[in-house]
Order: sequence, then structure tokens, then C-alpha cells
Amino acid sequence: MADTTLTTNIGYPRPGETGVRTSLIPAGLAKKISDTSMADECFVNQRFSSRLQAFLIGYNNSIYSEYSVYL
Amino acid sequence: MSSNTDVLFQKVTLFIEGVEVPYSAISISQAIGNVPSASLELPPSPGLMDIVRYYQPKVHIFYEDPVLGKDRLLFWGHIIGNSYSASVQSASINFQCVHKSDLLNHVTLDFSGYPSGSYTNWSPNDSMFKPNSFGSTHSLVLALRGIDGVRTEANTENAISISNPNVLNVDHALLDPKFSSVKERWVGMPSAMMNMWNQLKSSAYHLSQYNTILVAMYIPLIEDGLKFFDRVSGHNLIEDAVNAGKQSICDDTGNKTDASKPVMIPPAYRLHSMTATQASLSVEAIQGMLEFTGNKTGFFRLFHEFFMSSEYEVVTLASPASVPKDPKKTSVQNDDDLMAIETVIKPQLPFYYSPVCNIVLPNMYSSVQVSQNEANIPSRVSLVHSAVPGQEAQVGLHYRGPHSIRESVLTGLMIKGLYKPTETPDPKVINGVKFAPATPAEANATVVDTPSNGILPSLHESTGASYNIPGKYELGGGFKPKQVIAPSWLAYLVKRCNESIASGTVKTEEHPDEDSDWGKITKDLHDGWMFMHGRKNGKSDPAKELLDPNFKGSGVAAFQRILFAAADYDYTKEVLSSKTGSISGIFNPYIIPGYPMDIVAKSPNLPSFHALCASVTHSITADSINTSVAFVSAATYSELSNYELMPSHPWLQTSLQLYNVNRDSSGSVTSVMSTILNNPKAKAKADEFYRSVLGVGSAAPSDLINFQTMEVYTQKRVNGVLAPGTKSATYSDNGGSDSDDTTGIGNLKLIHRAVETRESIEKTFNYKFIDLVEENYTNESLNYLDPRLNPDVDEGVPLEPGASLFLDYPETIDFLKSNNIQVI
Repeated sequence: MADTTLTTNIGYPRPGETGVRTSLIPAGLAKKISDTSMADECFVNQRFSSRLQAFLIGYNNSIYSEYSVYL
Repeated sequence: MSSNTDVLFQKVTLFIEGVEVPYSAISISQAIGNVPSASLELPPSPGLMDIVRYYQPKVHIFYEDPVLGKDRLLFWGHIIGNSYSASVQSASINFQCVHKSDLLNHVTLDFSGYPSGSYTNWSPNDSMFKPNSFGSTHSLVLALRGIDGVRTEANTENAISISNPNVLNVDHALLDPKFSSVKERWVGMPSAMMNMWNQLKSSAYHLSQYNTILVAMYIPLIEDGLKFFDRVSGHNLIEDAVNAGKQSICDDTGNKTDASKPVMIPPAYRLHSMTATQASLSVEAIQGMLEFTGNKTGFFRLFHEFFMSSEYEVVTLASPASVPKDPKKTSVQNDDDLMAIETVIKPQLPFYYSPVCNIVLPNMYSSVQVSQNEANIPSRVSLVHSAVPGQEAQVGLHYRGPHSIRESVLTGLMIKGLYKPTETPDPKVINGVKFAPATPAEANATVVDTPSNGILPSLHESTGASYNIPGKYELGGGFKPKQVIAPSWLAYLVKRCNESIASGTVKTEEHPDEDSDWGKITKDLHDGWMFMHGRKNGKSDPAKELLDPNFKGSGVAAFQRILFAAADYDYTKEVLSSKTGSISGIFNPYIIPGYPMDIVAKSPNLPSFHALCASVTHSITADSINTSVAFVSAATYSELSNYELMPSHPWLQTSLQLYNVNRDSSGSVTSVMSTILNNPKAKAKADEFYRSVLGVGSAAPSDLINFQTMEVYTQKRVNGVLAPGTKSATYSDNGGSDSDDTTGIGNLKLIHRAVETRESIEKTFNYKFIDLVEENYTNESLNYLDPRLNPDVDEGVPLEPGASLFLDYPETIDFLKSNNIQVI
């Protein structure tokens, strides 16, 4: 996660609101996600990719947000 | 979720790359001969399909165990494809997944000849690795040595590592210390796989700079990333015996060689005598089989082929069994002494006892359908194999089953006048009555009836022409012959035995010494055979003993006994193959394809079945969950009690104590137990057979159903096996029942097995799964601005082909250096 930027955000933005695609990481999960997204670690050592985890956490937020078509 | 009302909520959670995600549907499939697979249906989202590009995201599916509690593994694999579909009503993205063991097939081996160029391009077929001797007779001999012990850390000269300059000459029969905690599992035939792996590794490390992909990526992936070899087991009851029965190999002249390095003989190759010839036969037969795997093959597929050629099979459990590491223990004090068994290497036993976890009790299924196609059931079989040129006639035309057909062929010999009683001395004289081949003139002129004493020529003569004589039971069912493709090893065995006998280099004994173990077993087999088949018109007929391959006077060689037995076993397989079916019922995470199963009917008016579980599919949606099972080779319980159906390969009958002859004080046979009904000694062995691998014992149909009334026995569970219980219809205030016999959840309690827990996976693989729960997804959140997902922050540089959006990549040179690969 070295090359990512974490900024505090309160509440959920509307998708597309900021003009960039972001993933939202709930503050409580920042310490739970994997500490690597290096290719060899994720394939050879079968570690979880933090990048992908962050994306999937954002996906969850999107699916369960008030803007989701699933609500 | 435990409930005594059968109103159940089954929790199933889906994790992709360790993050729990919502789903609208999951389907998990397991089938014989394949690794498990899964299909996931998720709510769509832009970018979700891209997670599969250039990466294989890991997928874990857990269920909350309805009996033992805790989240336990239902599937573990990775995504290999996806699809998107949308309509007016719905939209979804579907991910196709395959079990993690499929990654072993990335290791492609090239067996074709060396190119004339340098080492650097020695794999023109673009395979990963070109073994320098793998697949040769020498490597097979080495592989069949299995594992002799665990290498100590101090024993560096035998270390298979880059730093060992003598790595090519290490002892491959030593287990790497990293696997020492599961060393008891590496015995018998499974250890041949470990030996092969050691050979492959030492060959790769020998020239590590030319095998970088294997050395730096796939060996660590398989051993450490997937922990494949920490999660393998065979059935120790059989494998301990295989290990104990190692023999020195014969050289080409039939002499034993290298007594210090004996090799295993797969049970399939064990004749009714123990000679070193068998070891030689084993190697030749397996090598012959492996030659048919082609020039290029995946490593996992190679294992499959190797074990298939030994009448073994590899079963991958989607829900691994949680059992003590020590196969001799039935329980542990500390969870650290447990292991998960994900890959089972087992002898093929389609008609054996079912493990308890494969019993489908009456309240576990809602529908069943079984169909029987009798039209294709042969009335007789003859063994044939086309893999050995020139051997078709030897195998294909002579060894027939069942027994009644062999008898009819011999009758034909008499009727056609090709044999006649005679006083002329002849090597084919049997039992004091002398027979001699009739001259052609006599054969044409005389029709000789069966001798008044009913004695027939030697059984050996039944391997000739059939003379178009109907078998006794073909008189009622018609003539439907079928050539059966015999296992390849049988063809090789016949080829080798005939060559050896012809050249005189190897003597194939005709009958074991009566005082030897095999001699005693053979006597039991013979007496049992006579008890069951030695009759004519309902009365005992001693003359029929000549028709028993186990009878000394039958004049057949040891290898021919195997062939006759194989023909009978093949006939059983043909008969049972007529019935196939399927059931659908409550969610059942315990049942395993590749093992026998029983379907128990609720009412005595309905049939129950014993079958081979062919495939299992769990279907999970937001509002439903069920498990459907397809089965083959089914037999009704009434068939089981009415017919003699061989429950195992003949070569495993003894090891599994399936054949039991009871005698009175005078030694006369009073009963013969050769099936899975009412055979307590065999049942006890079956309990032992299953317990060390699956954590449960076995179940005999005669313990599930009262064969007098066809009513279901009341069951209770004791130490992993079912035992007769006391019928008690107790009903709770909520209308439910606390009797395990009357509810689905109660039935699951009776047949459950322990499955690997999520906790265990987290600990072993150092994983932290992120649950989709409120406390994790707090309102306070952090924006994760990923430059890869956000071109505005990534200076607009697009990714190169091959790069995943979700990975960071080291430079290759740095990766090689970090793995101590010598950079040329």
C-alpha cells in the first residue's frame, strides 16, 4: 500500500462524485488488509493482494451503498 | 443453526482474496477424476470483471457446520474466468473457479527428445521443465522405493537445495524435514509421489539457472504457498502393508538386485505368491502406462496417470477432512496435532463399504431417481487390451467370466470330443482320471459325453475356444458377449509372464506352498469357492473343484489366478454399471465423490441402494440451498443379499479381510462371508480403513436396514461409526424431534465428519479474512486512491500487457537474486 493515498472521509460519496475512481476502506479495516500486493508474494506464497482487497472492500461499499441498484 | 425442527438457516460465506463479498448464487461441483470447481454469481460492478485479468484471485467458501459448529471449508480455489449477463430483470457477473490444486498442472513436463542446441532452449514445446531421466525405468524403480525416512537437518549431503553441489545424487527416499510432522502419512503408494517429486526437484536444482521458473516459482508455490504435500494422505491400513511388503527388484535375468533398496509392489500387482518377479512386473507395467501419457503433461496429471496405472486414484476433497496427524490416533488433545487432508491417494474400491459420511439417511433427501439399463448387461465377458501390440489374443480371447461361462467352455470341450477319458499317461491327467486330447479323427468321429463322474478337463483349458456352448444362465437370459478392456497392467503382466516362462528365465510357480500364508489363504479361497459353487443340481459336487482357479489341481499358474479373478470382478463391474441415478436433498457438506455411498429408504416398501458416488453439487442461492448427488454402479439392497457381488479387487480381498470362511471343529466349511453384508471382520477392517483419512468409520448395509423386514434400524453414533440405537420418538415443545432418526439435522449428526475449520486455515496460512459485518464497515472510512485505478494520479501511463491492476511487480533480476538463483 506504499503507493496509495489514504484520506479520511466521513460518509459515503456518490459514485463518480469526485471524478476519480476510489476505493473506500473503512477505518477499522485499514489494519486488517494484507500488507503486500507484490506479485511474487501473491502468487508464489499465495498471500492476499492488498490492492485487490481494497478494490473488493470498495465494491462492497458500492453494492451496499444507498445508490446501489440492489437496495 | 442447529434445529430439531428442520427449519434451518445455513450460513455460507464467500471470500474473494480474503474479503467477504455478497453473492446471488454459488454452485460447487465435485466429480470423480477432476478437481472441484465452483461458479459464483455476484452483483455487477464496473471493474469487477477486471480482477481476473492477469491474476487468479483466491476464492474461499465457508459454511457454518450444522453439527460441529464453526465456519468450515466448502471450497478453496481461484478464479479462472468470468462472464457478464444483463437483462431487463437482472444483471450479474459470473466467476468460474477451479480448485487450487489445479495450479500443479502449470508444471508442464516435456518428455520428448533433447534438441541439439544448448540447455537454454532445451524445451522446444514450451513446457516448464525437461526432466533428464524422469519416466525412465530407473526413475520408476526409485519412485517405487517410496519414502524410507526423514532426512535430518544435519544430513546436508542429502539436502535437495540449490546450495548442495551434489544435489543430483541425493537419496530421494528421504522426506524433507519440513514435512516431518506428517511423516506417518508418507507411507506406501502415496510416498511414490513424494519420491517422484524429490527426483524432479533434485534434477531441477542440479541446473537451477536453467530451471528458474520451476525452482523459484513453482516449487515454493506447491510446497509452501499451497502446502500441497502437507495435505495428502493414503489409507494407512493398506499402505502400511504395501510398505512392509517391499521387495528387491529383479534384473533382466530374474536375479534379485540391490537388496538394500527394495521397492513397493502396488496391491494390484500382487500375485498369490511373493516373489521379486512382481517388483519387476510392477515397474515394467507402470512404465508401459506412463509411455502413453504423451510427450508433454502436467505434473498433477502425471500423478493421476501414475496412480491410475497402479489401480489407484487421486481424490481431491473440496471440504478437507480434519483428522489427527498420526493415523493411528482417533483423537487429539491439541488442535496442533490435527491436519487437513485435501488429497487422498487411494486404491480403487468402487463396491466396498461406504464411509459413514457417504450414507444418505431417509431424512436427508427429498427426491431420488434410479434407472437400470439391462439391455447392455453382458452375459459373459472376456478380457482384452489393445495397448500391447500382439497381445490382444493372449488377454482378450481367453480369460472369461463369470464362472458359469468357464464351466460351459469346458463342457464344450468334452462334447466336441476334443478330450476323452483315457488310460494313456498324459501331463493333463487330473485327479486320478486321465484325460488326453482326442486325435483329430476321433474328434470328428466321436461325440463324447461328459464323463459319468462329471469330471471336466483342467480349468486352464477354458482359455481356449468357447465352442459356442451357452452358459448355464444364458439359457434364461440370452447370449450377450462383451469384450472388456482389461487394466493395462494385466496385459503387461501376461506379456511378461509368458515371455519369462517361454525363456525359462523366471519360473512362475503354479501354486503357493500349503504351509505359507498365501497357501492358507488360497485354501480358504478354495474351500469357500466350493461351498458356494461346488454344486450340481443343488447337491455338493466335489468334481467341480477343478473349476476353481485357487485349486491346486486346476493347473493354472499364479498370474492366471489373477486373470480369472479379474474377469469375475470385471463381470461384477459390468452388471453393476447398469444402474445409475441421482438424489437431491438437504445441504450435505460431508459426502465425498469417489467413495461408495448408501441411499437408505424411509419405508420398507421402498428400495435402498448401495452405489458409487460419482459427483456432488452444492447449489446455494439467497433463499435456498441443497446438495444433489449423482451415483453410478448402484445395486439394490435386495440384490446385495441375493447375489455374490465381489466388493473389491480380488487382490485387495485379503488385505481388507473381506473373505472369511467359518469352519466347524472338523474343519468343514459352515459359512462363507465374501460380501459387505453380515461380515463383521471385514466391517472392522473397513472402519480402520476409513477412520485414519476421513475421521469416520464405515457402514454396512446390513447395519442400516434390517434385511428380514427391510425396515431402517434406529441408529446412534459411537466413535465415528453407526451402532444400533433405541427407538425413541421424543418431541419438543416446539414440535421438533430430538431423535436423530427423525429429522434431517439428526441424520446429519449421525453421518457428519470433521472438516477443516476457517481458524485452522487462518493459522496455517497466516490469512486474515475480512468479514462483511457491520463492525468492519464503519461509517468512518478512508479513501484508497489507487493510482492503478485512477489515471489522474498515475500520470496517464497505461499498464503493459501482462500486468494486473492489483499487483506490484518486482524487477525480474531482483526476484531471481532474492531467490538465490545464479544469474548468468
